[in-house]
Amino acid sequence: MLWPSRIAGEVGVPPVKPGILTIPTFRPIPDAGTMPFIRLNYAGQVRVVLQITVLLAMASYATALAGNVPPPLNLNDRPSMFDLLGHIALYEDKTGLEDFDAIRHKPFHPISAAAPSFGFTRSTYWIKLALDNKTAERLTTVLEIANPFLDFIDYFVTSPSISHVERYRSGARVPWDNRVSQTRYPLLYIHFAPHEQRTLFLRVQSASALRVPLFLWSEAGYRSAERFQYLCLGLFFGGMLFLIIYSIFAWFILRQRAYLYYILTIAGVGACQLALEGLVPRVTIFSQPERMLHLLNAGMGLTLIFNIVFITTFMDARARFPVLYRILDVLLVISVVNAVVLVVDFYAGIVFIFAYGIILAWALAITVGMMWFWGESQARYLFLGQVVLQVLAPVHVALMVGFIPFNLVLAQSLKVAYLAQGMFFALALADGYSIMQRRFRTMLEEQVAQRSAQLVRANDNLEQQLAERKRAEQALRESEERFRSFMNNSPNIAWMKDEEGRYVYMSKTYEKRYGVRLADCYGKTGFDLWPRELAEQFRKGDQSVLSSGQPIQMTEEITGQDGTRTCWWKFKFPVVDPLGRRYVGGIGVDITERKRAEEALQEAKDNLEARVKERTAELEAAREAAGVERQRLYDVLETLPVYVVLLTPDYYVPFANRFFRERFGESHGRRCYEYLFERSEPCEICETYTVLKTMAPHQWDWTGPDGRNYDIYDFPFIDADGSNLIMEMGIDITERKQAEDALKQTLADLTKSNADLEQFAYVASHDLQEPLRNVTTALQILEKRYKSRLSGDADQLINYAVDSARRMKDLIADLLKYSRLATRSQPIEMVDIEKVVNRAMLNLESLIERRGTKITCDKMPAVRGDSTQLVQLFQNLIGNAVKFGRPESPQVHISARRIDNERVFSIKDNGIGIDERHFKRIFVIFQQLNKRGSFDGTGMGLAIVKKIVERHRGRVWVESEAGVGSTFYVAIPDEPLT
Amino acid sequence: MTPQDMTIEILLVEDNPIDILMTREALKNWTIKHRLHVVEDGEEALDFLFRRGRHGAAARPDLILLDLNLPKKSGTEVLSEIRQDPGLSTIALVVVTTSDAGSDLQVCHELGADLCITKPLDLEDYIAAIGSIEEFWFSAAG
Repeated sequence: MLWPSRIAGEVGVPPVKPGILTIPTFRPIPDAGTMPFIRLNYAGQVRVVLQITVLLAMASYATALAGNVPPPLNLNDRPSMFDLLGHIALYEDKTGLEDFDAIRHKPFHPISAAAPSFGFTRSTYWIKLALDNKTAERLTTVLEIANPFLDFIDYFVTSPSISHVERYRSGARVPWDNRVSQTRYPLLYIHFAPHEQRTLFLRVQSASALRVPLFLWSEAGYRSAERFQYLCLGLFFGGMLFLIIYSIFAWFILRQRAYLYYILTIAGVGACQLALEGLVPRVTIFSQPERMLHLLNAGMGLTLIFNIVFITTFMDARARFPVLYRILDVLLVISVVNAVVLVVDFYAGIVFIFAYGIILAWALAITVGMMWFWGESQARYLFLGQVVLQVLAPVHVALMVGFIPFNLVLAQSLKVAYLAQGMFFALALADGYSIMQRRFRTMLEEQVAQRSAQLVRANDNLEQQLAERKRAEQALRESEERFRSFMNNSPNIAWMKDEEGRYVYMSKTYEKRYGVRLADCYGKTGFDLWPRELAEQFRKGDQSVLSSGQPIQMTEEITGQDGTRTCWWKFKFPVVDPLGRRYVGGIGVDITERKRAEEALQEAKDNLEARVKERTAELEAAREAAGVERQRLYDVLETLPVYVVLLTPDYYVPFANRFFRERFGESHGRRCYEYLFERSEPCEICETYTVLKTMAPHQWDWTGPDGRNYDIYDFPFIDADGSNLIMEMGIDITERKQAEDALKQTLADLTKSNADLEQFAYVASHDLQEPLRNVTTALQILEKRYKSRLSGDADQLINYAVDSARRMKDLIADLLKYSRLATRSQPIEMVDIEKVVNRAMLNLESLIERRGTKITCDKMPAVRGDSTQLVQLFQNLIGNAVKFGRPESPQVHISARRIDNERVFSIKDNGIGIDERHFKRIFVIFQQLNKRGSFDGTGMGLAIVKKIVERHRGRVWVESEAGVGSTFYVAIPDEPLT
Repeated sequence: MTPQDMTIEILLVEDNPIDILMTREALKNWTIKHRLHVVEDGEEALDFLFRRGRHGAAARPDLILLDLNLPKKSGTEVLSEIRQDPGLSTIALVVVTTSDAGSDLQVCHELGADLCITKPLDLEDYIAAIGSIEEFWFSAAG
């Protein structure tokens, strides 16, 4: 059961001693006995469980071996070290009060460990070793206990041949001078006579972990081992010292705090090693175990903390590796806590280190490795150092635990590891230094390169500017030249005078016009060149410009020497040159020509004005007249009893006459739909505005917002300015409409009542027929059966009744026919009157035959009408003609002719004729002109004829002369029926 | 069987008693022996023809005089029913109607009436029409 965590790679952690069962221990609370199991953390609990298990195992093994006394160790070989395995026996003295004499005969239990470890215990342990010198010489062995922290060690050496027992004392609590050997580890020299057996009893007790790592050396072996150990120690501490000195030098030169931290780290490691190697009493003034513990504390604390701080500072982790810096920070905090815990409670601190140590070691290795991976080459040596430690430490542990056979060289492996790590650190420091130098150099080089690049750029800039300057100068020259030729070629004159009125510039045109030269006039004033008045005029103008700072313009007439008058439009304006000197500049335009033109124009204008005045007067008169006319028209419009409006395409009403305004209100500039209907948008279907689409008049009916009906006429109207308007005229037809509606209603009512009446007549006559028929039939049967069989005038009565019944039947039949004229009509079609006449004559066959009437008929046309009714018509008329024909050679003639759009048929007979005063009456229903009974007939015939003719929208009349004959005329229009 | 031996069975379907009397009067002129059966409505007519109800032992008429203007079932319905029955289709069927509307007459002819007589006739005319029936139909063999 090894605890490799305690060993793995942390600088300054005390190295593990060989063969020790490193069960972590804990200091109990003195008054509370053992710490309650539940108060430990998980790791502690696990450890306690392990500890218990180990002890139980040991105890059980010891019990198993009870009674087996281990054989004595055979010392006849001459190794440097004797293997104690299997030769150790134990006895536990719980009270700690038993003395040697009591103990030596007690049963000891063998153990299989060469280095007994009891963990924390209050017991005192006795260890028994039986040694047998099998050689024939005297032998000296050295028993070494490689644990300087045991409090008390008592040695009892017995020999069977000697009754005297040698007693020695050692231990950390024993003052230095009282110890059996003043060595770092408790030593005991045991002398053997040839073939002597000796038994060694060890009594050990400690307040801390009770570990007894026993080594039995031969004297020579011990010497050499000791020498080797001290050599290694010397190398180690020498190396440490060297590193410290190196770091001090580095610090002085480079003034980097990292080196200071490194010194502290190494100091920590050194202190730890001193304590663990038991060198404290030898090397320092401290000889008490407490002091050793304190040194160990300090050492471990220093190492834990400053190792991390060194790495952090050396690698500049804060700036360069923020993430890793955080990790290191966390580790640092835990380390500080650990150091504090170590101080507060050493054993708890050790537990902490066991748990935390391996994490720390691996974390540091990985962190540094990451730094190297991320390009920080300085980190490579640090990383290597960590790795070396990680590699060698397990070796050391394996050796100590016994996985590898004990080897003095390998036993130093941990020290080698630390040294190697130190070397790597040194390399890292040196490396760091050179890397820093290199960086500095590259930085410098970069800066130089930058600077030179800047200089080159500046130089380029300058050259560019120079070139530009040259170009600008050239451009300026060119521009001046251009300007000069511009001025010289301008037809206008230009000049410039200074504040005193002296000429400083004259354009070529100026020179030419005035016959002067700038070269002559430069510096001269106007008074030198011009007549006094002129010069004064000029000066006044100049002064006003100078004083006001504003440009002025004027026109001047100048009479030249030859009397020619020239007109100039001059501008004078202030000029300031870059140096601040003021001038008056002037330009002048020759406007002589223009002036002439103006004068001429003015004359013409005056002429025109005169004429215009005349014209205006004429127009006024005309307008007056027009105005009157207009007023008249306007009045007409206003007084019209219909409304007239003009509408624009965008729904405005530019004109509305009074009628409209009174009916619908004033528009007040609103749109038609706004003020007529209070809508916010045009009406969806506006009949009026279709006119604009079709550009054609449109007439329609409208119910206005006042509820009255209007007959609307819309016309497209071209306004005076050519725009398209709509003219609308509206006639109030409300009354007419109402009358129409009333009429329609009346018509409907009448039609209905007519229909009802006709229906009634039909139904009545139809229903009357049945009983009438019965009466007739019954009478007829009566007549047939009882004719001449009844008395008196029964026959006559029956006859009379039958006749009356027959007559009534005929009347009703005719009435029925009459009524059917309206209710039953056939569809209107072209009817061949020829056929109609033939049919009528067929129906009247028997009558015609009886009368012997000769009927002639002309060619008959076709007319539009109801065929059945026309048959009835002709039947009645022809029937009448036949009935009322003269007895001898009665004749009837039917003819037809066309008059306008009517067909006129005539039925002429040579009968008895009709008196003129009866012409109207005969067409009335039931009228008969002759005595009842003279002629057959119900009196409805002509009424029926009239009705039929009316239905055909025709006319019927008669011409007749009594005694001569009658002619009935029927006129049927071409479009008879509606 | 010689015509003289035949007794013509006549079925009169008529609801107006005067018209029944008229028919009897008209038939008095017949020379052929005949027997007149009178039913007063359409349903009874059908019962008679199909020998249903109380007319279970009815004779098969040789002539049917059918008035269209009947209560219960209308004459036209009876007419169509008669003519649809194959057993009755050979019976001479004369329709007597008060209507002189052309459409009614056309309907009667379409439905299979052999003859249509309109009623508002003088007794004499009626007697003549009935007589012509005898002449036309039942003296054919002669």
